[in-house]
Amino acid sequence: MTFGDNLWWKCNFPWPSAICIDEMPRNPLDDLTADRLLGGTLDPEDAPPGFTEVAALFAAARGQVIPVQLASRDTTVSAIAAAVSAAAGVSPTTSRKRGSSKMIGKLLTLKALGLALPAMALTAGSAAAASGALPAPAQAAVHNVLSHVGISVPKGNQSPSGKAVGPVATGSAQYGLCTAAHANGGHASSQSVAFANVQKAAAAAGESVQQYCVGVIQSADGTTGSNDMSAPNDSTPAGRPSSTPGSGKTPVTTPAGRPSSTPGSGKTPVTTPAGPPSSTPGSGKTPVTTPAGPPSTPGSGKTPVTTPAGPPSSTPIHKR
Amino acid sequence: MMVQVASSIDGFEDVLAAASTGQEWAVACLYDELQPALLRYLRWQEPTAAEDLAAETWLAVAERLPRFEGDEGAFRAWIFAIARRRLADHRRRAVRRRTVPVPDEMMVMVPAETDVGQQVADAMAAQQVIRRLTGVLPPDQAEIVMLRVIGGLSVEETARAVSKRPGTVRVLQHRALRRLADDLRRQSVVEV
Repeated sequence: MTFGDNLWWKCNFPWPSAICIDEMPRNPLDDLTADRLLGGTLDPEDAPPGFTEVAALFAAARGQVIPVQLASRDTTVSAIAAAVSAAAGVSPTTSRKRGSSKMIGKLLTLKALGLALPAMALTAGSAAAASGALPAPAQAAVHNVLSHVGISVPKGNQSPSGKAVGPVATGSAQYGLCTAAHANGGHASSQSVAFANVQKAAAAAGESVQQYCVGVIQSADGTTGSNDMSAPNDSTPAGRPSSTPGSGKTPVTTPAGRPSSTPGSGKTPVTTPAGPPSSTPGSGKTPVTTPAGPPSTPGSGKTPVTTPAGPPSSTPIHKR
Repeated sequence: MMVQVASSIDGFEDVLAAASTGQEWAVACLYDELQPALLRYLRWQEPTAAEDLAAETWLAVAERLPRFEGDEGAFRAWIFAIARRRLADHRRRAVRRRTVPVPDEMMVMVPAETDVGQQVADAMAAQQVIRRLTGVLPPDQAEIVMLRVIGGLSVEETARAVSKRPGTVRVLQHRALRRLADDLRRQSVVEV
């Protein structure tokens, strides 16, 4: 009996002895017996009276079989050994260890990955939505969802009235629009908002579409620009794309010539001298003369979008 | 007083030294010896997350094993102490009520040459027994009993694992045993 036991107080004070006798454990348990009982080294039949059932229950609790799949066990052991080697600074000696060194982390991170991937997708999607870079239907959907939680993102490639506005024919898309229109003989789908913009620009210049676009193309291919090429009204410079439109990738090819200005200087090169390239293709730099996305094609049956598919050349690209 | 309650590892020091350098045979020896007890304990605490918690425990053990010093008892206590911390972390991460289902893997991970029905019946019986044992005990007494009975730890090892003094562990286990005996006597539960 210990000091902390309630019976100690009851039996060491002048209470009527019946209380103490009634509540005293009939079979006090010594430390050795308790240890053997809990440790499973005491057979229930040998347990003190009153503890036989307890011993039997302990034996039953201990009887749970923990089956282990051998393949799983071997993989886990290999992974643990590899992790120990890594922690100890010992190089694993077999490729099996190297191969399995990532296994335990893999096993442990699968659950987290299952949670993280949707979160990452949401984050990436939100970033795209925040910049308005999603396709119009998706952008509109994200706009609707996020507006319910108080987050404002662009609604998409639509005017406030819900009508598509298309690319600005005098802006960065000028060359692409005119190239497409010119290739089509100055005729394009009447449903194309982009082509309608070209028509408006040509009308404003007092020319037909074909005349207007010939001038645009010639000035873009020449050494001087006369169609507001040097001062685009957005961050993406106008000019001839150096890669194939529609590739969907940010062009990494370098224009065949040395740019007339240094990237980031604020000037947009308009010339293409026949000199050696200043950078190696694939060097990771995006030349500023490269449009950030493929020009939209009037008459292709698709509604052109104002949002380029790729990042604008003036926007730094953060790679993770 | 210390009673060796679990099967010991022959030449533990050699095994530990080899395991500390990442030798698979030694790691396998430690794993085979401790994993069943670890899983039993974790299944009692968190049946649905026991496997993950055991894996997390072994990962933590692997990272710190080269710096571990101590005998087998200290090693057992160390592993269970890590498991308890992982358990606490898990509960902090996801607050949820304790449930005691029979894990699905009990149905699929049994070796083919064994009697599957008997294995599952034994497992279910053991789970029910553990539930009954711990259901009548306060949490601190229940944990001491589980570490001692299904974890296979001695008084000293249990004390290290739960950061209490051995004397405190003895007091708690005495109270738990008496409470269990009284409860069983009252309910006349003799079927196991």
